[in-house]
Amino acid sequence: MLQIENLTKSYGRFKAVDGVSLSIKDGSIAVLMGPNGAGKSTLIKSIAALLRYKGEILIDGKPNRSLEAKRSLGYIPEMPAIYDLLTVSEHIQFIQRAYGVFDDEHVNRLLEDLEMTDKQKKLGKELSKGMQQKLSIICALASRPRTIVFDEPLVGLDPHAIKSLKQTILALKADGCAILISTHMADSVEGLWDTVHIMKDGKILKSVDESVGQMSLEDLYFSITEAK
Amino acid sequence: MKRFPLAYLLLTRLKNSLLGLIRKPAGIVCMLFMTAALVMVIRSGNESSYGETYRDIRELQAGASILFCFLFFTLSANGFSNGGSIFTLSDVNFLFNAPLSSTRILVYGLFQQIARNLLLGIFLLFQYSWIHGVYGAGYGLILSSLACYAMVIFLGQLAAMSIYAFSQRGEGIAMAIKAFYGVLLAAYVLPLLFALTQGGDLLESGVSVLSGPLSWFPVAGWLSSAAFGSHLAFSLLLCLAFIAVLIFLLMAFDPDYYEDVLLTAETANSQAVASKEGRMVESAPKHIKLGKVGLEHGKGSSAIYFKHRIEDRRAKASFIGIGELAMMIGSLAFAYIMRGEGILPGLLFGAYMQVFSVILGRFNKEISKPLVYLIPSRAYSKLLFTIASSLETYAKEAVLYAAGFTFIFKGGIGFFLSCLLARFSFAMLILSIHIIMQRLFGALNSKVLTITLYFLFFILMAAIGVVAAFLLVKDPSLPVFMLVEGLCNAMVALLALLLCRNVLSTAELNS
Repeated sequence: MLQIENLTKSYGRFKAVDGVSLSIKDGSIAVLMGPNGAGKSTLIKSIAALLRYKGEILIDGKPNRSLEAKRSLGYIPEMPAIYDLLTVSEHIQFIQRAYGVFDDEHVNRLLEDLEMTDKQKKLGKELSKGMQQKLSIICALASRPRTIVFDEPLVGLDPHAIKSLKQTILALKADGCAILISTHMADSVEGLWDTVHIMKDGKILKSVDESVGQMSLEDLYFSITEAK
Repeated sequence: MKRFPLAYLLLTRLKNSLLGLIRKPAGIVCMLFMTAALVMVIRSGNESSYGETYRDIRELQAGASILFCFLFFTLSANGFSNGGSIFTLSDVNFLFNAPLSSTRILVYGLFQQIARNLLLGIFLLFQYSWIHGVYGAGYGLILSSLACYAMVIFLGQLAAMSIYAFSQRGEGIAMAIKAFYGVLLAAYVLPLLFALTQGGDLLESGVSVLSGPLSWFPVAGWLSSAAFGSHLAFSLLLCLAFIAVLIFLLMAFDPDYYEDVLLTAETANSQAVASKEGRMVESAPKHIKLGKVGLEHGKGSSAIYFKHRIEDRRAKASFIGIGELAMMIGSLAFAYIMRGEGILPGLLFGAYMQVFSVILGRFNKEISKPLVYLIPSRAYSKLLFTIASSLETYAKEAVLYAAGFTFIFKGGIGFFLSCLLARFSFAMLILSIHIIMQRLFGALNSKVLTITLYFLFFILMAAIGVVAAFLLVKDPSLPVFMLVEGLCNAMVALLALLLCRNVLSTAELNS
């Protein structure tokens, strides 16, 4: 479960995120949508404890900077920077050691789903951008996190990988994980979400549950952002 | 090992980088080439001596002190803008989210940085020949200098990280740190200036103060002394104490340093990605003042030149960067020290340093974008206007260098002009080599092979001028030697440009 209470992140006088509160329950998918510069990535980086901020972020009830919270969190960054000199399997081994989770069966399934099984001996620098993104996703999920935040996860992936990742995300939801996906492409997450939070100028303009939504995500997005 | 993920990470990356070197033929060729060059440098150094007696080794310590001071202050000054860069974006993505303590991650980052700095400092080993020939220095001194060089860079980066972390706490704190920084720099520069203005031999005065009282100056003084073995234990203790204090301050007041390294890591990653893709990254100030807007001049290919002038103005690109200026001062200092041996050692050392200091300007940036290929003008015309602003830069730099060189050798106007031509022609030669490389091997992806070929071309093309000058002038101490050398270089460079005039119609856009 992810709980954010009154989160504010400022750079000088500029507020990149301004008093955001939201909560994502276990077994649900929330989508964070907004135009470029809305503050989505800043919010995601704050959740991943990469930024200082005012407010409170709890992961499974623990402050996000604590080691317990970090064990529960999977973070897929917007820029999939991986180690040039580690192979795919060594990246995963490192994650297993760092998190103390050694579930080879789970890892093999992830590798298979994202068509990376035959790439295990490839060095990071030999992977294409799309493969780097896939590896980044596998590494984030290898430790079996309970709360997962994706920052633009589908950018750079081929259609097959997009389909597989969507299935993986739905499987994680079914498994009881709390998932937050940040994106500015409405069609990429259509059919995935339970709740959408529309963000602009650092604030959440509106949060809508899928159950009460009468229109497509894209129409919903424009109706909210253009009305303001 | 399962309990030590960071050790696993370090060791696996080290193992893979060594295996990578062995597996690639170009890597093996490069390693053999570098080893052979190093052996040659060491052998020639052991057999050579520039004079009957060695010069005062304190001169070298003084030079090391100035270099270390320059490195420490320029690196740590980054802390006022974007912090240190001991972590990569991969570290940010993989380690900062992992359930590992921030202290352990910091130690890992610092350890990794020292190893990187040692690798970067390998070029120092290639200075053995002249250092041994002039000062009689042995292997021990070169190795200790390498270790101290790596330490200076490490301390500069650690200081940058600390300065950035504390500067973010508020305007007042940032101002106080800047003031302290200024006082510290003045404490190094003022005694040196005072000593130099007291009359007597400039070199002796400078050396006395640098190897005397300033050998206790933080970092630069401590490590230059440690490299040369004077108050070694005390200097190392002071360095260790300095590291401990910085780490303590960081961890006590800013255990949450992740944000402070995030921006630097992201910027460094963008640059690395751009470099891998063959794109050049514009290094411009954060806030750009537009100033006068509009191109005003230029038609057809000449518009490229006027576009470059605007871009240089906006990027605040000086005709000489701080690193290049330092190398020029180093070259002139060498010429001053070696003035008793004539102009040749200074001239050649200056040319050698130029290999590393010549800025390619906008040529490389331009060819990585589609525009220059699309402009409907003749390829040679586009080439000339693409390199025009670089040539202007070289001319200005050459004037500065030639003035210093002429002052050292008390030469007249003829000496100045000969030196100007020689310096400018070497820059032209280096530029022409880049164009040849683009013309012949534009699509070559192996950096190792590119660099090896670049040096081979440089040796071959520069040798023509050197041999011609020796054959025609015979006495390298005469200024006319520089004139012949300069003319030959210029002719070789112009011939290369002529042969590669169509480079922009054959070059490949790699990005």
